[in-house]
Amino acid sequence: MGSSKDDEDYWNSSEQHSFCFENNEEDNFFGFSKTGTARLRAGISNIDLSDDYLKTSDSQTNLKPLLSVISEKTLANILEADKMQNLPEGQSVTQPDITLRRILLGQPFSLEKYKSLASKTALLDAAIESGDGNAILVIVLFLTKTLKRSLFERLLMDRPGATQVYIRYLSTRLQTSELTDLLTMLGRSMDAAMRTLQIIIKNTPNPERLLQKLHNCYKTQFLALADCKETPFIQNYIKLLEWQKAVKDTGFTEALEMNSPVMECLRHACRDHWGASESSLWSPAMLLKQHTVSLRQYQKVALTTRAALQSWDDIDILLLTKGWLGSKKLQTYLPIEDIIKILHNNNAPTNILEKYLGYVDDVRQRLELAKRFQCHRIVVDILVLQGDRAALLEYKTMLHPQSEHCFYAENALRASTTKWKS
Amino acid sequence: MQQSEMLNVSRMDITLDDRLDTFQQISQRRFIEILDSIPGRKDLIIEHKLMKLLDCFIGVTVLRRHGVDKIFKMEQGLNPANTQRIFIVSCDLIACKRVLDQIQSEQTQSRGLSHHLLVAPLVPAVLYSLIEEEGLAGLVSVRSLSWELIRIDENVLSLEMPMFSDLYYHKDGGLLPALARSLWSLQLLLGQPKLTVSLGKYSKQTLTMMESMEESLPHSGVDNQLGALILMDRNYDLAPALLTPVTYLGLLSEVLEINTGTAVLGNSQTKLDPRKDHVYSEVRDRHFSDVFPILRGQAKSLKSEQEATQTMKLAEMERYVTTKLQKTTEIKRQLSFHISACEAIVGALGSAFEILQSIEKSILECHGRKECLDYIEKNIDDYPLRSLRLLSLLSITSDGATHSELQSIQKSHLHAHGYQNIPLFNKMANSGLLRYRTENFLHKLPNWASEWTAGAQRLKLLPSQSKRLDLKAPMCPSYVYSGAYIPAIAQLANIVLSQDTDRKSFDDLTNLPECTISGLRGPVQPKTIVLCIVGGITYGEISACRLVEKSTGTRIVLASDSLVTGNKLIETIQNI
Repeated sequence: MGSSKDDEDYWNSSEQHSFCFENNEEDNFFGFSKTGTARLRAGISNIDLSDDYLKTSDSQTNLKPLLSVISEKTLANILEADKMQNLPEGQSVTQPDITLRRILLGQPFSLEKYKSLASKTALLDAAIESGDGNAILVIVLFLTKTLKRSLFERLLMDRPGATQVYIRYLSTRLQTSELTDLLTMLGRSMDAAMRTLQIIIKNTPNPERLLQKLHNCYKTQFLALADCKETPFIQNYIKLLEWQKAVKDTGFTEALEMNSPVMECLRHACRDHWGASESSLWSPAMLLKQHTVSLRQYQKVALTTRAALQSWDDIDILLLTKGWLGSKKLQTYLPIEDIIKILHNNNAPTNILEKYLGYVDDVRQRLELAKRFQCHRIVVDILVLQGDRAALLEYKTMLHPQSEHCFYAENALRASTTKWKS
Repeated sequence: MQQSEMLNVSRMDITLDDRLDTFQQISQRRFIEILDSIPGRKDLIIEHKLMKLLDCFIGVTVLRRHGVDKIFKMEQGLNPANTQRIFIVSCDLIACKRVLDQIQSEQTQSRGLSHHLLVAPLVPAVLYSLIEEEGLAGLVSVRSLSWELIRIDENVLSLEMPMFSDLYYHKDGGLLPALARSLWSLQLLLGQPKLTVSLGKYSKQTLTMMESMEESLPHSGVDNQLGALILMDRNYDLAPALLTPVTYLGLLSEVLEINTGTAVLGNSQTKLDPRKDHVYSEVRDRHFSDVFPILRGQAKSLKSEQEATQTMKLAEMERYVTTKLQKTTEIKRQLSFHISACEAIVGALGSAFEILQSIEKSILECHGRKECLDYIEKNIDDYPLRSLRLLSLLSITSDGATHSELQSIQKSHLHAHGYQNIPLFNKMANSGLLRYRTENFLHKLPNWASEWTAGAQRLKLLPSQSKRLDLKAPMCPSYVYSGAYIPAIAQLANIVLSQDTDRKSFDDLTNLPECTISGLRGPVQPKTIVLCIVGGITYGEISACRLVEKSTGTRIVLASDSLVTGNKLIETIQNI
């Protein structure tokens, strides 16, 4: 009985796998932990005693009568004291609603009397029912200290109300491995991965360490996930940080802030490496390919960057394709008014603005845009086309007298070929 | 006999406003009692985000009168001088840990210091273990510092402790007791509700907590009664937090920073208090299209008053200066603030607003899905919050968005704003702000209607479009969203208040799965009710409820843990 072999068997029973001192780092002292010792004690009391041990109790015949040695009162006191210890933990001792009320009201409370698994469970359930997260958390932490791991986990398994609060606590205290283990055990690997990712992103300001940690997190947590929508993005995040590191290491371009968004990097590439060959690391094409940037975002960045450099030819290459008979067709994913606005904001010459205004199919919209961006010649042409003499006369009054545009409008008004409707 | 009658008379004179005004004093008293219990001269070290809040109920003079010597903002390298040091910190564990670190370093540097920790609004029970772990047990005294609801703008009360992310993302009701406690004191002051209605899990739990408090805390002499108390979970009706409110106050909240009732615009700021700011009280709840004429009218009358002064005789002028000038100067300042605010609103939303409104409407009606998704993607580079709100709304009203619909939008968002945001969509989904669903061809059928729509129709939240709404003299609370939607909280108030004329709506309400009702049915008496949203009330809802207040001749008190806007909600989730 109680041989070392039996001890081993006891710890090797079906639930031993979670018994591990390292699990509870916070109260581990030279390999001892509160939970560890509690379990040891529980293990000892479980060891069967054979009937032989009880025989001594019957051989008290030569002893003096008890009450001749000690007074009745002392006996009573001693017995009473024992009775106090052995008081059954009935309803009078553990009353979850009263304990919870004390927690709710901020009054002193003690959870120690919740010894039996049933009373612990009842307390936890009552706390979840009440919704008081404050109470749920202290009770969960109490359970981690007084229940073995496997039992604790079994309790959490079907009590998301408690799990959520505990998970939050673990994330706040950055106990990542604990958190991952718990969520994985609960079959929530996806949540485990996202939580870890969140903690890494939020708490790693140094880009190189971030890169390293992301690598690690990707390999250990995301790779195995079957259908996580975020996985490809994490791969791209890693690629982008590597790209930024490489750009930074070359040192010959204007500083690019580490950990900046793809569009910012693209802006950088469009500005400094516009002509670079498609296979070169720095080229805009490489970023487009690596991150599958939408054509809308690409055109917006490229247009803004090249317009800022007044490289109007590049913009033609970017936005126009050859149509029938050598004519140029506009091929864009941006609203035409946005294109014209960007050109105008970058002081594009009038002929460039006029060219792009020509691609506005709707005459009314074209007129409105031409007015807004002061392409007077286009305005005059449209008004002539519409035969709206009154509007043209009115528009002319707004033009600078003696200016080229004013003469243009005057000529148009004088032309005999026009059929005026007003 | 005579005396008690007199007492009754004087109590009759006490208005709802008087009662609501007592909160500030009660909060102050509680704080002072704590200060007085700590002997000697004291230094206060306050966590930054609590500064403004404490300012709502206590000032420096009062603090000095109760032994406070120096006041510090909690940050690295502070240098208090007195041995009594009081740290005031919010109950979040990270903030508490920071304070404990500070206390520890102070204790190793010098002896004989007394450290006190005031945790707002309640002491998390787990903090005691943290203090023990840090080896500070017995060396720090810990107490909670709570305050009553803070009166913000006439009938709006806020705890100023935002709980949305706690409740709906973390699913952690750790702060619920604080809300329950403040509603409990509200009841002591205003009276026991004859009828209580709760919609949603947290609302119900809050009510239960309030009951616990009633049973165990001393309460005496509450002879008043309240017509009704209605609680609703924020997640029960998310649309008002996502739509753009079109009242003056609503748009103000969209464009300006409003902090415990103070609106900040560049270098100037103004307290949004209708009792002091008559310009504000005039325009506050008006539809924005109706605001300009009012401001113009007020500017005109100011101008004619000014012109009149130019022809005044000396004596007349003197009288003017002593009686009216100060008031006029104040009105001028207020008017110029609100005019600038309008300019800011127009500048920020301006030409894009019409399209935005039509997109919001389409999303509510589940129409033109492709067009809405295009709009969201197109705007995500420059207006990420606007786009994310619309996306959230779309996914909610149509019972979810599919993976393929969300993917390109998520990608664009990440490309424009950084891969740091990878967890964002997942976080939004966890907090109920984004719903995913699998591809389902049934949704493409012409007569398909979402469960959300069915739910909204059950509460009649989608007004019939055949009735034209006069935005200048609105009869329907939907005017805050230009007629597109009635906030559920306003509708609940309406249903409860018109039980006697519309029995059926009330019965329908009773049958809602998440609804619990207790107390007396029938006409609501007295006509004072409290509405509370658990997780934050929006400015649109405030205006909508005020219309119900007017149209039903009731006094409505609005309470919540905080005042929120759609942008704030998304940002909170972003910053978790």
